[in-house]
Amino acid sequence: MKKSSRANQKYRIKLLLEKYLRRKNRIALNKRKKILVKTKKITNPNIIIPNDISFATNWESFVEILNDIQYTIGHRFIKNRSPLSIDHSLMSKVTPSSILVLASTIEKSQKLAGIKLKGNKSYLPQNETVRYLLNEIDYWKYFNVSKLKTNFMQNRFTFFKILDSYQVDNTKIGKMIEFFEKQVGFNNDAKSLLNTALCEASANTVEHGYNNSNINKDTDRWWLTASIDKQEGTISFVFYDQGMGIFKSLEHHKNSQVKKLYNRASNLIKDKPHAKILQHMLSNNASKHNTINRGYGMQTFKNFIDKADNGLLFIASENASYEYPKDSLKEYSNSLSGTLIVWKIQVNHDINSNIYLKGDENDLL
Amino acid sequence: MTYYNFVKEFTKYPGPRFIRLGKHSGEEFRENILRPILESDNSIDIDATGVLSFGPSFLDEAFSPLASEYGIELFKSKIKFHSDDDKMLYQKMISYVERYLEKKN
Repeated sequence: MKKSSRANQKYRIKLLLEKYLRRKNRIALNKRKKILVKTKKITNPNIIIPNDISFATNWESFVEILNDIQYTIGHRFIKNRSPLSIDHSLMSKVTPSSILVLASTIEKSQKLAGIKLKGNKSYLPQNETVRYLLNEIDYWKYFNVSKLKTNFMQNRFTFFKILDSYQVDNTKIGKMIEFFEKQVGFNNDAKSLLNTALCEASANTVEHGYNNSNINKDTDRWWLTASIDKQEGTISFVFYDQGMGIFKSLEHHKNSQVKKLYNRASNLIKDKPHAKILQHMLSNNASKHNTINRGYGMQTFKNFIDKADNGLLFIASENASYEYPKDSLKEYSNSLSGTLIVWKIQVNHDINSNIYLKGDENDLL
Repeated sequence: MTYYNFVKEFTKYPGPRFIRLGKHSGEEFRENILRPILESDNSIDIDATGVLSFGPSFLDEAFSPLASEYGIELFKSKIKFHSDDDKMLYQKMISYVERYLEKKN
């Protein structure tokens, strides 16, 4: 009996030991797996920009890529300083807003990480139009590359190089409007409304977009570009900041009443609460400042569109977007950093319109 | 009365509401140009011809607090504001001032 109980005990200890070792091995294996996953990210850092980076048709993938860029550039700065490449070769569908957001994300990430990306010929876009557009907007400066040589000739687009600032800079904005005024006729009202809309957008960013107590002049900025598409007969102005976004700024607003109103609204509205808050802010005079003569911001965005014959305003912040006057509300799984505003208006040759495309001098001869 | 050419002496591109937000703000114009006038025996004739455009924030911050502090009558008697490009500019500014006074009272 004694022998068998001792054998039993030994057997039980052996089982426990095996169990313990198995557990220990499993933990070690899992740890190794985790390290392997991390190592994989470090050894394969290339970011591949997909063929379609239009917000309208491919929001989720594009925003995921933007987040990847921020993560990868920041991660490489901390863990590994070997060269990083961003592959543009597949890009075939871009818009002025997607180029602006991509360029500003790359710029901000580099500045935060304190590194400079370098260009790589094998990763350039194969699509000639995309190459041309990125050239025109001066995108390659973010890779320390001067303009690419291209034989592609076109007179379809006119682009304005990206403007940026950490302050409200009406001189920069005003000069951009004057540049377009040479090609597009604005009557005084339309010009004033456009100027006001762009200035209020930058004022909103400076005042509410970033953490005011700790502003980083290099990265806490706004970016702006504009373009004419003669074939489509449209002119677009695109404004973007990479701040906290409209909803977070409402959530953390100094004014407790604003905070309370925002929280109540987001709890009460069950379906697409953020998009509906954007819709509400555009249709009401006061946004955050329900005080004396404040809160023109959001209202001024749509005043310019109302003046145009066939205008469209698109506002996207964090996980929501709203389109005016279509009244289209959308919410997404992936959140964009900050706020994007696009004014797109139809232009025609009718000089009686508030906004019209001026003909080439040759057309008049 | 002092003649003041806004484009030459201040800017062609008026800026934001507050000094802390950027250059050529309404607050800067109010404190550096308009307040000294209201505190003196002088008056001012502001010619804004050539300005790209005035935003509501600039107009409101530059003029409204002074109308409230010094009284609308004194304000109107001392400040002239016009532009050959926008005949309604003075009316526009006064509408912001009146709205400000209305909300304040």
